[in-house]
Amino acid sequence: MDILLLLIPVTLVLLAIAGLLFGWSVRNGQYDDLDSPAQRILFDDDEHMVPKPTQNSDQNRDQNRDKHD
Amino acid sequence: MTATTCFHCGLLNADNPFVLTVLGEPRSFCCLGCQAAAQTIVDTGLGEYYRFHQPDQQPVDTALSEKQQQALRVYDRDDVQNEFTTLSSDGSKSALFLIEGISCSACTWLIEKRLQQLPGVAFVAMNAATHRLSIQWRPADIQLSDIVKTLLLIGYRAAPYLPDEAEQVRQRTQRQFILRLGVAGIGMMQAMMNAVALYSGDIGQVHERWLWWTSLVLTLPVILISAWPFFTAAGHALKGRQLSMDVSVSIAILSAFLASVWATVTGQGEVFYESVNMFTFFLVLSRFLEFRARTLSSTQGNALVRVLPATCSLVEGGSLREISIRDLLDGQVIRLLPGETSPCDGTVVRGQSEFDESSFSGEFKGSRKNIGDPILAGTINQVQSIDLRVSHVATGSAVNFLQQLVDRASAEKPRIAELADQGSRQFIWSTLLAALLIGLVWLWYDPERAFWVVISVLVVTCPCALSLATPTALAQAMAQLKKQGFVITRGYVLERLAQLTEVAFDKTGTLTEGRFDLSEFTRCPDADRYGLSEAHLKYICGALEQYSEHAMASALKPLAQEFSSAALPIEAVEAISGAGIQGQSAQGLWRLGSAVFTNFRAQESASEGTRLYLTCNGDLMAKLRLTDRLRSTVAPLFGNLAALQIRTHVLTGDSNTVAETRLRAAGLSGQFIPGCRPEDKLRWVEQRAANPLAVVGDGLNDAPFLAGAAVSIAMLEATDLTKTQADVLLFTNDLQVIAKAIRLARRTKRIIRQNLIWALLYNLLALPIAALGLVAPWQAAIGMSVSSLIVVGNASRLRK
Repeated sequence: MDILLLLIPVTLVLLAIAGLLFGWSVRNGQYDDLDSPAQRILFDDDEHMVPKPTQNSDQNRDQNRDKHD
Repeated sequence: MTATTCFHCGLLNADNPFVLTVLGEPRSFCCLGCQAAAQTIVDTGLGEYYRFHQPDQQPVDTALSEKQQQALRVYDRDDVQNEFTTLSSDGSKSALFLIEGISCSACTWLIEKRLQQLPGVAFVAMNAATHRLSIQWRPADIQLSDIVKTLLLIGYRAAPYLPDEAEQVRQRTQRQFILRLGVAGIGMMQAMMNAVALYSGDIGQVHERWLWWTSLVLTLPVILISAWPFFTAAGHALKGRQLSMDVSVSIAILSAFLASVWATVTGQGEVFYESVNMFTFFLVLSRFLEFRARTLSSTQGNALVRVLPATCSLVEGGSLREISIRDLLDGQVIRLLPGETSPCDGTVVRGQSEFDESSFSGEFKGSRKNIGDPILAGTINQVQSIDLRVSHVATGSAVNFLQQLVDRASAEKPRIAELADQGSRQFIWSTLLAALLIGLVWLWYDPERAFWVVISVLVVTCPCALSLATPTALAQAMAQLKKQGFVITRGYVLERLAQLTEVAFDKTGTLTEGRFDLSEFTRCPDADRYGLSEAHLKYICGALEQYSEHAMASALKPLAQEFSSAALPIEAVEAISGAGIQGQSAQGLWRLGSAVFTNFRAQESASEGTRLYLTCNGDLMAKLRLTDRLRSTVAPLFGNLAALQIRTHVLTGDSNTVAETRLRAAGLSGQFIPGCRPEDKLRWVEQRAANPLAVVGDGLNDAPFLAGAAVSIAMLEATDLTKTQADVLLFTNDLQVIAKAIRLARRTKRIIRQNLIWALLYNLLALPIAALGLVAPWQAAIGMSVSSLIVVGNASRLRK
């Protein structure tokens, strides 16, 4: 059971990292919209995400989306 | 979707719905607007929208006239854009818009997809919760007005939005809530894992101490971040010599936490870290849900500013100059084009026109204005351009008068909200006194055990269940109603809804749709001589009104589209202000208008709606009647309210009493009072202050009326001033939701009562047992958690 001496600090460090990341994501505005992301996944609208090298506009669109999401 | 509801907006259809084949099946629509929106959506390849959308029962109003399109062009002007856009280094501009008409997440998807299809739009992000659209576009490729128009065509209205102080506070608070919730959640889960190890029984003394210390470390952030605001709120309450729920919550959290810390440091006793964490988590959760329900309304824009245009045309020595309304001075002359809203009170100095004063009188018929007539701020010029001498800017204008009425009424609102806390106050006092007495007795009887018995008493009687009983039930009910488009903005609404005995409605725009519809078209015998069928005559009416901006014209314009095959050219169309419209065709001179204008002697007695006559060379061809239709959901609503034993009243600014028969037929059970001014309505409400009364209204004139009532409900189309006064906003045109809300409020009240009885019963049972020293602190903690969970579970029944 003395392994706890190692495991407890490891848990706490991982938790601290998770907590800091969570705080960062909240401040970054990622939780501002709690309603639509849950539904967005339902739409079959990802054809344009299949790479087509000639379509620049589509790629721009994806990049912008990534920035937001 | 059944045939009786609109495929696009979900509203009950009228008798003859519009039909269009969408996605391989014929669908019915309530209005041309919805049909056109569906057509656009499917044509642009976004039919997927209909798989997931939840109709908001809000018909689309896309009948964009030339003039309105001109009005949108104002967004393209640089000086206007400067007020709300930011220019980035690559030449693209970005702005925030407030979108009206969003009912579900499918709408978010639709808006983003549709705008991304436009060339020149670089970035779109729509926030479904706040209804804000963040957009970035390249002015070289697309005009802002085209973006706004695209949104209009798929059924959403957009207005530029500048975040104000209140909005920033709202966002900060929401982020803080999420942070608190997350921290408490993480802490709760970790502490519970430790608790499992602790209660497994197979653990040594030393390892137990390690886990205690770990739990302490895990709980510290929860206390410091998640629970801290409860402590500060409790501190404020104590400073004001008040005992609020926050005080009892703080006592419970702190006593359990400090007892655990004491046990951890000294190595004896019990720890309750997991209870502290869980209690904090549930409490923050219920407060967060309450906060979300409350603040949603503010996302619909605030202040009167949006009613009024930001600039106006100043007439100076014969030339025009655009100036900001902030720079307007008394005595200056400004020009108002058709479709523009007057930014100030004034008198007409040139031209004649008609003004839509519906925001003051509730009456949608235009009011004629000649030279010397007064114009009110906030009214809309409908016919032709006029010049106006400014008499009152800002303070002292009629809009401000309404604002003053509103302020007075809301100051007099009974403060029921504060009473909710009073019940628990006595409870806290008695608990604290009981704990003190028990402590003193034990100190005398067995000083060794006194401390732990007092802690047990405090924990076991912790008012957790009691303090969760009301807010969780309220939050569940509010969330449930919000889903149906009944958005509650004040905490006391549900309580009052449950007690309602009367509901008063405004008529125009609330019970009626607030726009004219052709309800009757009679072809006269004289038409035989010209060999014109009814369809021909309808076409002529439509063609005559095609370029008119009059409120009634919008009802007649579609007639021209129904009969496009054999178009009769109508030329030299001319509008005669306040009388009617005339034009030439092969048959001769056509006139459409009032009885006087068409030289027709009206024989009919006063009847509902407005009568128009169509003549050709002086021969009567057809009689038309335009009425403002009752909403299709009025009759079921009245029926439901009667079933709930609630009396219904109607107060209207309209002096016409004919509507009464129709409303009586729909099931109106109380009074019908025509010809009410805003002051009259307020007086009527004040006279009934003794009865629990809800009022439903929409116009600017309803604002004082709403502010004076126990519960005020505003329609979505309501002016902003009215909305700020409303306890409830209806985000749906289905009025039946009002009856549903009352029913749910009554259920909520029952559930709250059950919760309170349970919590009190538990405390009354547990207190003597704990006082006798029979409850180990860990047993007390389990009791406390279970009683809280039962309360939360009972409240969640409201979701069904």
